[in-house]
Amino acid sequence: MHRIVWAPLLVLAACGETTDDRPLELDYLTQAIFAPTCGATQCHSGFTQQGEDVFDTPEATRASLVDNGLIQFNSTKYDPDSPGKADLIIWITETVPFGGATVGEDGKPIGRMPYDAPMPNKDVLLLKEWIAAQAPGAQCNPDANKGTPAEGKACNNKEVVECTPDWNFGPRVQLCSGDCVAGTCL
Amino acid sequence: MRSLLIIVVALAIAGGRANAYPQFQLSKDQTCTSCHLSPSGGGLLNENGANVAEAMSMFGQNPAFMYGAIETPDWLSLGGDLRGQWGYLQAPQRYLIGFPMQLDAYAAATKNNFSLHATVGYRTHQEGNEALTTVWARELYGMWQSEPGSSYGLFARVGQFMPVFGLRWVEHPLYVRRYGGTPLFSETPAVSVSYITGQYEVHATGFTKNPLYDPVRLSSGGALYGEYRLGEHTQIGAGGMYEHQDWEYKLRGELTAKQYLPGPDLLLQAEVQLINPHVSGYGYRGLASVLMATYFMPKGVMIDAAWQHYDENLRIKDLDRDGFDLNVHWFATSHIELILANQVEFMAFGKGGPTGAYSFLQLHYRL
Repeated sequence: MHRIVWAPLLVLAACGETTDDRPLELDYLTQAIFAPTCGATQCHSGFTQQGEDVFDTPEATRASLVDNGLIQFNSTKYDPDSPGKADLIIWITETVPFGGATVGEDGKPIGRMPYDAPMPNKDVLLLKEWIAAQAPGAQCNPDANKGTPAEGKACNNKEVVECTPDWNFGPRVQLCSGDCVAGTCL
Repeated sequence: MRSLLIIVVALAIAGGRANAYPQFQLSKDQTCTSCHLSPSGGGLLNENGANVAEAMSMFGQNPAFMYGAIETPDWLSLGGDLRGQWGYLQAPQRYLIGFPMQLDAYAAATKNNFSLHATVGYRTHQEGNEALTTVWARELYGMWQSEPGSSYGLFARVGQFMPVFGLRWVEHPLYVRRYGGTPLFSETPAVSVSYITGQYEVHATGFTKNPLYDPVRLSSGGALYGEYRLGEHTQIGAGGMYEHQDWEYKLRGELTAKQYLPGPDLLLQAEVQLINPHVSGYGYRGLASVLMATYFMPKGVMIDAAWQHYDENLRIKDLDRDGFDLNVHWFATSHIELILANQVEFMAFGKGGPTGAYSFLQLHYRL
């Protein structure tokens, strides 16, 4: 009888293939990575909102990534060219991010994220691939630069572009001869 | 050399709470309701629960609320739990930390078949909104019970509480809770019906997102969970849960089992959950499980050894993690418990990422 009880539970062992067919898409990344790993109750959930970052819905995730500069598309820091240097990736891969320059309320450097448990390397790799693909779904904030000539615009490297309502790059507005920062040619 | 960051964190890092110990079901009594007022277990103890607390502790003491110094009328039950813990965390950065886990007060008022239950206490505050979010009512529900004062019968609840699903572990970091549909502070507006007998119990819960604040549970859905006891020492269970948001949905199916071995005073428990999330037309399967052996030593000592497994996506290799836990509980008195909780966590057994670990000493005081 005991074997009958336990056997089905032990049958479900881990398995897996090497082909990574996961979509490079913000909703998926939120559901599978950001929400369970970063958006835990006592961390970056809407409930707690540590550091004003929230990762438990796609809307909150894109706002945190874009508005807090965790992924940047200015020509002075164009993360798709070097995903490993995106602030998001630095936070989740370096033991003392930014050399300890970012400190918490207690004045101590904030350590690697997630704070309570490591993130799998393959999830970090998938996030890097997504950033290299220009982070669709979290490219810009259409409400950025309110009340300025750059309202609703963003930089995509050297280009000033429209920002669409779904937080993606729209049509090109201008090609900058110099740098592009915050939707404006410098 | 990796830096060692020594911080004493007050409220910012983590919160905690406690349910009942599922370790006591079958080893001490047949159902959660044998010791608790709630049909799902946890929170206030009934008279039998208080007696069990006294009997299994090393030094006993009056197990009643405030050691019996404050007498309450028969219709009113009061209680509370306080927990804090201190220790070492590696994820893989290393910290020495300490934090309060739980400061909860319980009350239940009963009249005939009806009762009103409240759990009020500290929560991890929402940053920038501390004044309104430091204290909350985690649970607040009304209950109708077909047989007042009994552990058995029909229980109907409406209000805010945790959907009844799985073995209802105390330890909220367990994968089957964190990733399994019952994470910390995910109490939510719900309606449930439970039917409990000595041989079996069934719980059906419908739940929705709380619109009044920023909740942990953002989904609406339903859960069905049942347990069947094959004799005095063996139990099997099964359940399913459906959760829906406007951008995703998840299906969960799970099996549970318990086997108590009276000779060595050993309890084996297992919970395996298959998770089937869907988002943007992409569906996949994950797995969360735990296998725990609990050894009850004489004189108030309980030792848990557990193996946990979580796989975020079964199709993809090296996304799994395994946690090995060793927890030593010392029930010093009817009201005081010390816990040494330890875990080592491997990502794909070292191939999938850095290794994590913790070792915490936890103090639990029951009012």
